[in-house]
Amino acid sequence: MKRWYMIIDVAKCENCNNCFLSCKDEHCGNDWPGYAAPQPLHSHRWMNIRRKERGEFPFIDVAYRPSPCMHCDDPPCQRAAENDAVVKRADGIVLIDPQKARGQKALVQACPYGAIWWNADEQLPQKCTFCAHLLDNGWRVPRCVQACPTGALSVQFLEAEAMQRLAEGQGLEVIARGDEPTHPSVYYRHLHRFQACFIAGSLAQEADGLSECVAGAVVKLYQDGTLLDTAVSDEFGDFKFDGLTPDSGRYSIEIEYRNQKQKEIEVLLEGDLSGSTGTIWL
Amino acid sequence: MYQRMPQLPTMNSVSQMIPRLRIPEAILDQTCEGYPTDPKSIEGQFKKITYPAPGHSPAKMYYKYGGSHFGTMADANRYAKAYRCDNLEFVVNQSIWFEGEAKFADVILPACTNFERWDIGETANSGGYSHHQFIQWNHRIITMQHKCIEPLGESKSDYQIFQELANRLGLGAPVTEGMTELEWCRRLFNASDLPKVTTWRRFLRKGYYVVPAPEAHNRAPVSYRWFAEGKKKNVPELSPLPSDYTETWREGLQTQSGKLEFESSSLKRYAPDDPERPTIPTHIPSWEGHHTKVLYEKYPLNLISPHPRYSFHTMFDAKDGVINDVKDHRILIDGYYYWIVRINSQDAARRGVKSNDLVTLTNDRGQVICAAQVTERIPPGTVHAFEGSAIYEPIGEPGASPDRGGCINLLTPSRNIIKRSHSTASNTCLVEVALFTEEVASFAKEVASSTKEVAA
Repeated sequence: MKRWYMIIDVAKCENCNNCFLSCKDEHCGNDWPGYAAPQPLHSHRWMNIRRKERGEFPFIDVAYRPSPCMHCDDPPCQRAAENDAVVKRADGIVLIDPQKARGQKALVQACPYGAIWWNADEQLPQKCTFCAHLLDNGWRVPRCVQACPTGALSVQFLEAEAMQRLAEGQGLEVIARGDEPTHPSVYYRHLHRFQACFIAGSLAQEADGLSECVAGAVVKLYQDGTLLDTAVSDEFGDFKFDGLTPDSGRYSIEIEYRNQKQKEIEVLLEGDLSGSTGTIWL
Repeated sequence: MYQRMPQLPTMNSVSQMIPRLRIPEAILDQTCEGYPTDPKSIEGQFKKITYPAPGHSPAKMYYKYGGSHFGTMADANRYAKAYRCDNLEFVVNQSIWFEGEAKFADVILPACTNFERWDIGETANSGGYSHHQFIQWNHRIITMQHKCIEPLGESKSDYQIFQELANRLGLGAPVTEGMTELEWCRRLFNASDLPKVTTWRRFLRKGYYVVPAPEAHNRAPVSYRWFAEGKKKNVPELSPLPSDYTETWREGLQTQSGKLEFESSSLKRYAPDDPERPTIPTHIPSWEGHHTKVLYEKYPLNLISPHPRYSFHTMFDAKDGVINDVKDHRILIDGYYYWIVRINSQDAARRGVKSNDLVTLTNDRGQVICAAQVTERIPPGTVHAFEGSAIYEPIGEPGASPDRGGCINLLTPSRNIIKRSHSTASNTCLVEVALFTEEVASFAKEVASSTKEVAA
């Protein structure tokens, strides 16, 4: 049985909000009986774009993570629902029944992703439907995916095993939340932009009374005497090691320029903060 | 053609002009000057105009279309003062939205939206002074704007409003030629090449016509390739006009030398010693920035106010739309959607400001209340807030109290970048940011209540 999966590339999202706005356009003031009651004009974010800033000026990285309902294989909301108000369809889509779910505010708290929103007027928990009303009528993608101009959002309609292979082959990750595994149907690419830390810096030198960026220097990243990675400074003298584990302690950075070791600098990664060496004068 | 028929009222005999940025001075001081651009020649930008024009009366009545001054014009408190000045005897505002500016009018004429009236147009072609804008799209679409519903409430289409006014002035027939909006659409359709490729009926039903790409032999050559190859100009744009070539028509550029110039010959001729606009581009320290010691000590943050990302100037902002809910557009705090100021973590910490705190942005020109977004995306010493708030909501006396709508342009300087040209300098602006405290709030309330008493 083939099932729907959404793949979101964090590196391609630049916060244009077309997904958020198209979701509003599809669901605000529109009743899709059997799928969802109208979304309120304000306060709900069925597609919620989260921002992550890493580092300190000027060594920073900003990433955006669109987060819809994860359409879990083991939905915590389904476990919390009474009266079979939450349905996991055979094609993987999780729907909250707009009739049966009336009054069940517990569903909002049950979602570890914060993807269920309370509609006070209708007394109804609501969330992303994967635009099942469109897919059931021949659409190939939900509205948000259709509206995405950068290709950050895409969908796959695959057997579970095939999706597993795709995820492993392309290094896709899911977001784990809550006490028990939820097995989301939403996969992320380049999630390190949200979850990992980096160490960055810039190289410069004084020559003939001018301050110049140092391009082409070899920068080596060590931890406990082990070489982890090597980078080359760019035209602006900048270098960056990304994908480091948060709170992973002390690193040492070695700079080689014109085949000579120039400097060695220690950087500490504490908490979820990224680190920088600042500008290093050679 | 119609505009050339002098017996028709669409030919405007009034040639006097006021630069939009100088409207307050035109009303408050009853005099101003400007340098409007006449794009017919390079020298067209050097012509100075004065207001009132010789023999003309200063304006006594202001007929304002829409309400975007406060969000988009620099030092915008000036507009509040102008609206409330006795020199201005009568103000009409014709707008769709009841935004801050409409409230200054003696008479409001509610206009309907595009969904409530017929129109015909070309997508992405602005008309006016810029030609062929659709080329950025690489294709053209002629669009029929269908009237979806009748105008709501007492609102009318702009055409209907002007028709009613013309009727009362006894000019109804010559203005409208007895035609409705839809009939004008059809007349424009018939005047275009569309009838060669479709019928009015089909066009009306479909709602649009995609103009196919021209045949290869009809396509315009690559811009400036003619110049690079030393040939005669062969691209279809109108300008420069034949009289504006130095030597021979279609040979060389519009500059006096006919070449790309590092030193401008037209400036050498017009104002060779202007210290504000040297003939060769030069760095000139800002008159309001890190170099201006006294002002910088008082207002140590450089405010940049680019165009908004999620709205177009004041269009699409506020109006109870979902754009308000875009996280980087406005922030909902205590039931009010506040405009956002972005501030570096170091500057924020020094002022005890956290994300989603209400803050004031202040300088000698005004005060704006915003929600703070603490971020590393902006360097220390600089703050960022978009221009273009559609809401002007002073919490006290208009023109003299903090605005919580978010009109950042209350703070920006209205001077021209240089004296001898019309130019805006909105990104040259120093401010101070402070937490919006109870004291500030209660002071503002006092001002507000005293204003009400005066009004009563």
